[in-house]
Amino acid sequence: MPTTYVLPPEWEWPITLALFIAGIASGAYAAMGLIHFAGDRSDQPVAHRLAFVPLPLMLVVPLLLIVDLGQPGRFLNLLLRNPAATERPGPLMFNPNSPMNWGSWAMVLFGVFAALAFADALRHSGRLRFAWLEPVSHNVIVLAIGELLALVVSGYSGVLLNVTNQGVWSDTWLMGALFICFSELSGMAVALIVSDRMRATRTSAALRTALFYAAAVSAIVLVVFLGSMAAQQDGSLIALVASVHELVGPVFWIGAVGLALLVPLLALSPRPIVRIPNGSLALVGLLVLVGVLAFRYAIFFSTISFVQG
Amino acid sequence: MSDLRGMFVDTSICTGCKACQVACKQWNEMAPGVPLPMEDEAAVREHRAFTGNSYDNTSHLSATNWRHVKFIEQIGPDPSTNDRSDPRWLMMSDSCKHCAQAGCLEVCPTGALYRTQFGSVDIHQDVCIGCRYCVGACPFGVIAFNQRTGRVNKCILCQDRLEIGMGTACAKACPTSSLTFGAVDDLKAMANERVKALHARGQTDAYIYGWDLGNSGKITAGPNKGAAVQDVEVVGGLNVFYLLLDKPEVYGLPAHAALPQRNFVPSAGVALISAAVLGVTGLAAFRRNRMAENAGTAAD
Repeated sequence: MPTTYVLPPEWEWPITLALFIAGIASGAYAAMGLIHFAGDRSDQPVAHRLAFVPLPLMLVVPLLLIVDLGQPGRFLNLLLRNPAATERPGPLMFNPNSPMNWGSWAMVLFGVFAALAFADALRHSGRLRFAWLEPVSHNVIVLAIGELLALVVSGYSGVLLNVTNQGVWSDTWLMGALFICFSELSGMAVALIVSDRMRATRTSAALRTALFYAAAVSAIVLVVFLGSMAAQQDGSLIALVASVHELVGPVFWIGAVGLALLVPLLALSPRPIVRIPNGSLALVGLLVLVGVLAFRYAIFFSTISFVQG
Repeated sequence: MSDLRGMFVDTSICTGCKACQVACKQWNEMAPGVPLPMEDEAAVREHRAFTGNSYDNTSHLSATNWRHVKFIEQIGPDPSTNDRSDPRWLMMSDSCKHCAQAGCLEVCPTGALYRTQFGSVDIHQDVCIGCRYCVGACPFGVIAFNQRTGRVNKCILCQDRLEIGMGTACAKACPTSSLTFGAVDDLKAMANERVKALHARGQTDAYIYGWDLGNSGKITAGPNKGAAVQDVEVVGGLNVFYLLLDKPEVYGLPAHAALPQRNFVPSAGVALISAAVLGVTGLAAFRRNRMAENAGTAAD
């Protein structure tokens, strides 16, 4: 049994689900930005359709996070300084040492950019007539700031888990990188589903390569992550990959490794080992999304199995 | 002389009477809790059952147990055999250590956890949102979520008593002076003298956990007999610190407690690098596809 001196924070399903959804939202925004930056005119319809994704999801995420608080009615204390917290300066609440504070602000600000993208998508679909949106929402600086905020939303929760004293979570410096990789995977998967449904063949071809590359990078980061946990020799690796408590081990291998990484690596490679029928790219995207959810689950619940040996 | 106030916990004279536990509960008006039988699975899971561990009745610190007396039975030199020679019974009254660098305070996203004028760490109950980040950040497992109030609780070094010039309730109740309240600098000097006195008497296993005062020795009994020990300073020093007679792990204390923030900058840096790599591979994917398309068109 591992020796542990800490209590688990008891974050469970609502948090797991919130961070999975936030990962899709930020990943989809990142994929939209990539298409804007790297694509040509023929790719833009997919980017515009993809712009519908982040905002609705970013409206759900805070609700899930707030529901999980012990005092949900006080959630504004994350952003506005409560008058009782007299030790903190100014009217706003910002603790630079707290990744949770960084994440709270990033989500609020990212929500603004997600709303801008959503409005622009509405305009492109002919449901909104704000001509002034075009130069704003397609401005390179605006897109770059939005991408940066999407990056923080993708990665802050991983960094947050690193900045604890929990087994598994705080054992390596790679949790933030892993969370960004899996957010990117989920964003690319959504982009692939959208382009496949729109029958945008050229964009789908580019996106399947992008998803393959993202899976390859993620696999490398995951291998380094597992290697660094093995080096700890404190039982944390076992708690993640071999624990049957809450089915953490099987979910990790089948979901995170099998669906999120092996499926795109085998099916989307330039020389695919598994041939997928035409029009089935969306299925690959869906399997990757399920795999990313499994990854979030395994990481979140591994610390409980670590504490309980 | 600084204004820092704290406690020195001398485990060598703790008798395990739990007067400190009772005084803490009484002063802070916490429900006593009735241990339930071990057959009650839910009670075991929620730590409300009899512990089956010596005279320990609360098993660990919690939202309603801000002080916990630990009982460590060392029956013989080797727990795996029936050798019952040289037994000893260690006891320790545990609580929040009011770390000089407090992980819980550092990560609190609302400013609910704060440093008092006495150097202790207190909680604004009106500000806490119950996010439980501090629970996972504390290296000692001290701070705990209170399901009833939806907020976190821990020892607050009797802030209300300190503000009117009194000491802590637990130290006041301790019949053997195992718990001593006072100015941290005075307590450190007292602790150093106590270690030296014990060493002079042949009890060379005494050392300080919380500050490095330069003492070192050798464990004289129990399974770790003969092992070297020395003063341990953790997380910048502890305002509530201990005189121990065995390795920290034996008392359920981490030998190398660390601030969670140690990982912040490296983790964020590695995350940024991975994001940059992903961005480049995404751009490369589009470029590769378009070049392949152009090559195909040219070939046609």
